[in-house]
Amino acid sequence: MTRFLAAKLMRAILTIFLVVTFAFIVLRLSGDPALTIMSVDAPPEAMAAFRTEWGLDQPIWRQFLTYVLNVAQGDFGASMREGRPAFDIVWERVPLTLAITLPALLLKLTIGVPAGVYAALHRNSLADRLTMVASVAGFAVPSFVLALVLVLVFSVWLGWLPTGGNDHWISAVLPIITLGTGGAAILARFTRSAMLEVLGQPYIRSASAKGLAWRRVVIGHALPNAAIPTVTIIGFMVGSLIAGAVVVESVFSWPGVGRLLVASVANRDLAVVQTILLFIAASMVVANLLVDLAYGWLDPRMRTGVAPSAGGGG
Amino acid sequence: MIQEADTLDAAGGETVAQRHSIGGRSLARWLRRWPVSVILALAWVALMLVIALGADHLAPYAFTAFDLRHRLVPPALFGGGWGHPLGTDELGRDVLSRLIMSIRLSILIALFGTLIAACLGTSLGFLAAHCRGKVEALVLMLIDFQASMPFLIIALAVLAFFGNSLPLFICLMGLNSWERYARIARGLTIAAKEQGYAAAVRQLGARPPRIYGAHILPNIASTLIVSMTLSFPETILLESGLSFLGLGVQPPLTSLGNMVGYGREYITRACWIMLSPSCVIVLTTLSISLLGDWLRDRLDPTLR
Repeated sequence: MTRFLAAKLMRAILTIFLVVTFAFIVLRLSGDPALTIMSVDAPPEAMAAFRTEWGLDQPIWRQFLTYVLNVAQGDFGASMREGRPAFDIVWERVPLTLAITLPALLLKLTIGVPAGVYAALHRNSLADRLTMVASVAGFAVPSFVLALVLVLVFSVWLGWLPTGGNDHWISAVLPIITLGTGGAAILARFTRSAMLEVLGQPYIRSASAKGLAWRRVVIGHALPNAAIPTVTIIGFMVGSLIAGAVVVESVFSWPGVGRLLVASVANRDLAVVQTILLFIAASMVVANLLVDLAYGWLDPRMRTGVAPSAGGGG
Repeated sequence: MIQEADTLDAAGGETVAQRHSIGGRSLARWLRRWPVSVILALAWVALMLVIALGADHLAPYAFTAFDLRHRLVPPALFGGGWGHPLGTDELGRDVLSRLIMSIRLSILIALFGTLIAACLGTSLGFLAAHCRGKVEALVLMLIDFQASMPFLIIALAVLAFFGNSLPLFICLMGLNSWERYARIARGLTIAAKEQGYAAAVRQLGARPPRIYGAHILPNIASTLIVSMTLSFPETILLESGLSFLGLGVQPPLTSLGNMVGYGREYITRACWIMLSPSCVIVLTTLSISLLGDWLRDRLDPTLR
């Protein structure tokens, strides 16, 4: 178990390092930030001063080294627009994003998982077909279309809910519903196929053949085994708590991390974009780590090292 | 008959078909092979391809032509005239013409993006399966990295900082789901190498490009094609999402996401600007997903 954990931890650190490198390469080599922030006809002295101030006159490997060291010490640089530490700018947006993504996650879990399990247990019933239709629709309808249709119906035509902003808690309703329904449909589909796969296994047949009540077969044998693939997708959703609302926040003018990212990308505010990338990477890595721990807990084979066919094929 | 077909389709064919009389049996069998939903999906995809290919001839107006006297005209069935069947936007540009050009660009981007991803991913998968060892570890690490970061975020960073040209955007779309092909190609190739035919060709002295290109690729192609039907709609959704945010396709070019993003400004006064491209996005992704499911059932028993 210790080795298992250590390997996962190493991988997590490696991923973070990859993201740091990626962010640095993409953002630094893509163009001269001095030219973007200042206008083209700025005096050369001012340009030079700007470059020196932000370390842009150093050799690129040196900039990279400085950057990595700074990040390791928790210094993410200062926003080129606002002059404040980028970390603070991003950090104060995190609660706002979580305010819509956490309820949305709850919505996904409370609708998606039971619907998937129910659909699998009542295969080909009306409920099953509705679940499948909903899950196909949940995939095919992009979040911005769903968002705009909801705005059209509930804000423009019915006038019940505001179209955007964050003045009042009621503004959060539409973003949460948009995020929640799409995710719930996908989760339902995953849960359903995981359950169906498990229900077809021989151990389910033996469990019911030995006279166990169907309810106990489902709760004791089917659900824990179906949980393993489902946990992967839930983990991805947990990891997306910060990153998953970029489009929805933009539609509803919700001032969270996602909208900050779009704005910073448009302004080429390097430090802020890098910080957000790292925040997102960190949340994904932590979520992956949690998923791995959950695997270890759900599936004893993972702990003992007798690895099952990991990844589940295609 | 339509109703019968629907029941058949929804029930997955078998049960209803068996209950049918001899006369309806051939029809039932045919419908089982070609469910109505699949035929509709095929028709829609074919329509989109025709529009994409013949956009220049089909568009009734130039998609950038202004007509300031006819601004925000509603669609034909909602009080507008047949001069502009889908209405006009706030500059008096014909929504139908813009929609047609948008379909062309969106389909083009998604098609090229999917092809690039498939080629890149399959090659990397072959490479990993051929070299094993460190190369394989590297490819697997890249796969993990790609799978663990939401691609929208990566794309956002790359796009806005490298500026935004159409070729770059298409290449970026090609990076979207390569890891899926790489994973499949690697797994299936490793399995194929254990089988007799690959070993036999190798024993006969074939070089790796021949082994992989002429022998293993055709054997795993069906799985890869099914994966393409999965990533094609994803690419459309990604493209339209980015264009919606104003960071994808740039004006004067227009794509479906672009139209939705721009129609959002007029949602209270002229919701048709945004509704028609939205419908096209949804119907296209839906159709290709349905076709993909159907193909998967027919071509590839290894995937669920």
